[in-house]
Amino acid sequence: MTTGSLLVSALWIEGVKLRSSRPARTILVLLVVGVAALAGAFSLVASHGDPAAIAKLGPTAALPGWDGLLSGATQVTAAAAVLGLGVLVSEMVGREFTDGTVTNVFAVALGRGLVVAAKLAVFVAAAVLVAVALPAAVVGVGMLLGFGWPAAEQGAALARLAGLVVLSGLVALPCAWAASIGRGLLPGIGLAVGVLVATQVAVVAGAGVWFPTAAPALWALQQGEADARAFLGLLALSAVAGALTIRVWTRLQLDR
Amino acid sequence: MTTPRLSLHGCTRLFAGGAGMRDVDLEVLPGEIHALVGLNGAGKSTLMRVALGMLVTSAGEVRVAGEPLASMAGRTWSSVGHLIENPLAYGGITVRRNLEIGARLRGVSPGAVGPVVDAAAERLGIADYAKVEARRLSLGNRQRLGLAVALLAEPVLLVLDEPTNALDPSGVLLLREALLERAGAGGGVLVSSHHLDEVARVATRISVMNAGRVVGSLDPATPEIERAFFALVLADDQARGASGTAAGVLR
Repeated sequence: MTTGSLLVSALWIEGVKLRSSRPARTILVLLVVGVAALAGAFSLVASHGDPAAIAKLGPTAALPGWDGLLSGATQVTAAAAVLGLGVLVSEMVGREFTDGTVTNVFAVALGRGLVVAAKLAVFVAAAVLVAVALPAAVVGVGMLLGFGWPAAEQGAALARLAGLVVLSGLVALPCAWAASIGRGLLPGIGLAVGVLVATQVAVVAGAGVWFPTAAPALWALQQGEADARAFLGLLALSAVAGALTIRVWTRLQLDR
Repeated sequence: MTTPRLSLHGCTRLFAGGAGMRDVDLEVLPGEIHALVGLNGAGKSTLMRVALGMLVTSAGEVRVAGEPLASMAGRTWSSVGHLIENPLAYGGITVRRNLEIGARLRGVSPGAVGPVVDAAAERLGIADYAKVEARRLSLGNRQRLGLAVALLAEPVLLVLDEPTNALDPSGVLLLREALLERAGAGGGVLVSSHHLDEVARVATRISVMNAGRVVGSLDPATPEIERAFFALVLADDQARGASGTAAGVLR
């Protein structure tokens, strides 16, 4: 078989594993349906004019109509996508260790580097799928709430929401490395939580759009001008994490 | 001279605490079923992991079909089947899909996967479970699935660690036939087992491991093979000045 056909086989295998994984399917559904429903619930609460609830939601999420719904969806996604996608990629990589199936990717024609590269590619594809499905679900919720068809202005916010999901996937990618080094799901999930907390702390401490892991959310929420350097930094971070993950798998030994 | 399907020369791999394997030489020739027997912790699984590149040696060389493991091309692995500890059985995936994954991992082209998978499922008697998710299989049928994956595409080298684990008597018979068929076709089989009687039925050669080393061999036709096994282990324990379980068994 050629390298190309081996790559196709590796992608097929990882696609089958993802589709058949209940935890993975649950995470993907929660990221789409859960986030859209939560944003819709925020809109409903705000529309009732309860001052306490409006204060908790913040000024933008409490706006009436599409603006409030999209702001709420973006705020929820900013945290949920990093956590959800971090758990997803940890599941895809770490499950092989916890279930012991990793022995079966040794001594095979495909090679472990190719297997884990296919995992990362399928993970990115899953993030793109969520990036398409989540804005569509939010539009559905908005129409159910009687906001009508979104205007061009809301179209830009929906596009930013989609971009936020994909960029959150890049933020979550180092979790694959942590799950590989730690040989299980928990190290990857731990890193996802750590990144989320560190980003929040950094933003509260005054880090702006230049901070790579904060840049996607701040850009999507339009809290400051986008900084290209931050996005390049994020791209470099995820590329290094991907390369390190492949290196870990290529050199892997079953010695513990 | 015939190229061994598998050869280990002077292989050492030790873990913290001293367990592992030391200075092991071993060959699996074409047409041979080479059995490894030993007490728990003797080093059988370590040896098999080293043979498959799951562990790297600190000394010595492993060759598969004459190729050094360190520089082996991926395509050579396509003719190697193995089952070490956990069978290839992803819980949420059907038996057939698991077999297809195994075939694709081995580099079987997509067009050839169907017949290869059908043959393996038939051979291990799991064709009726083709549409059943692996998580719903009994332990024995999961083991059959793992063995079917190992036997996919007629491997010329088969490495099986305790393959009779959880198998019922009919599964043991199917496995025995499959091993004999592989060896009959010129393949080499390395198999570890605690069941000396079963090993004696199929093995061409039996190597005994103790404390990480190959300490001798047994003729499969030996009467009272268990006694001969324990005698070898006891002799090695005594030579090393170690106290083991063999002495108690022979007393």
